[in-house]
Amino acid sequence: MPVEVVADVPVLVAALSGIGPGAVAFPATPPRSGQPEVDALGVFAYPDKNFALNMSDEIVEGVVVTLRDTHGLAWSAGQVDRAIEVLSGLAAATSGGLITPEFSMQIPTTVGLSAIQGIRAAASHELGNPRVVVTSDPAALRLDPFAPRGIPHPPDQPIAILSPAAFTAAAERARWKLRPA
Amino acid sequence: MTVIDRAYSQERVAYGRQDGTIWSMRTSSTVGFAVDGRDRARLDHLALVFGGGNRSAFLREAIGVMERFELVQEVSRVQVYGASRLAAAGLTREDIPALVERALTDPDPAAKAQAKRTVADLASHWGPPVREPSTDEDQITGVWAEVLDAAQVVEVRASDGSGEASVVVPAVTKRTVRSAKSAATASVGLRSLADDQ
Repeated sequence: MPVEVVADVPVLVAALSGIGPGAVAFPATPPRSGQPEVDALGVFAYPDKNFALNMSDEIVEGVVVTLRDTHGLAWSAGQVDRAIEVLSGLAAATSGGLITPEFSMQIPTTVGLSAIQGIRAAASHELGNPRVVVTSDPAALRLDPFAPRGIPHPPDQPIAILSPAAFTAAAERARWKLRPA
Repeated sequence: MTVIDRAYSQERVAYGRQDGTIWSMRTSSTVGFAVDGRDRARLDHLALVFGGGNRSAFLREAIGVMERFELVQEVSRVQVYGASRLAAAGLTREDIPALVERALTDPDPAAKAQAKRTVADLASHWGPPVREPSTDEDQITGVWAEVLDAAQVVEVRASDGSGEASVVVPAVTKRTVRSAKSAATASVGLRSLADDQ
């Protein structure tokens, strides 16, 4: 069972908007780029089965509308399709999936919409444990570790809510501990 | 010297003999490929290390690794485009949360339409992950908990007129407290449920 990872829309958009040394360093975990979101996406470049990238329909929609927004980044339709192909390709390659978010759950109103989408996805009944949401939302980060209420969820399996940098560091530490003797 | 690999067909025959299944039922097929004599020892070595001596098993591993390599290269290409769009808009990484907030609350109709199409297309061939129950082989589960809960120590110093002393104690982290509180809340809930019955 892999660590179930959900990255929120700002993390995914930022990861697609910076250049990382992923391909150069393959198949090792890429070296740090100085851009935490790019590094967090780099965790999924390493070909093990320990971290599964999952996305929900509302996260995919959020990435598409943000990249396409003509008043913002204004990506071409073709490039957006390509971006979704690589994200879903990475997700599938890490044994992640397109999951159904959990809506009947109480989340503090101080948390931003993108992070709420991330937490809803991470609380999906379709995922195993452990789970982690990667976000930069300060209010969401203060909830870590988050025990969902109002839905069936094992109380001893709270959802970790980590910043991109903290997630990358934790993934690196875990892989270091798992290294062959 | 050229060697034609027969690993797939050998595996298929072995399977058919083992359980009497007609081996044309298997989904695997024989694929022949040429290996230069100089590379034969390298292939055998890699098959031994990554496929337990089975060239078919090694090939499956190698395909997975190369597919990931292709994906990572593609990610890099998309990132080059993405970085150019960010720069063209005169924005930085720090502006992205606000961009997302605006796009989510007031999406461009054309973008929203593309998003709906994209999700429908993805959902037509992709779905939730398939998860088997955890086994002892899932080392990452234990290690991940260990990493998140990594026991930290703090050094507490005290001093008075006669000198200074320090004691190193385990730090109780916010995570430990919250996890304990969550487990305690669940226990209280179960106990009150039992009391009611």
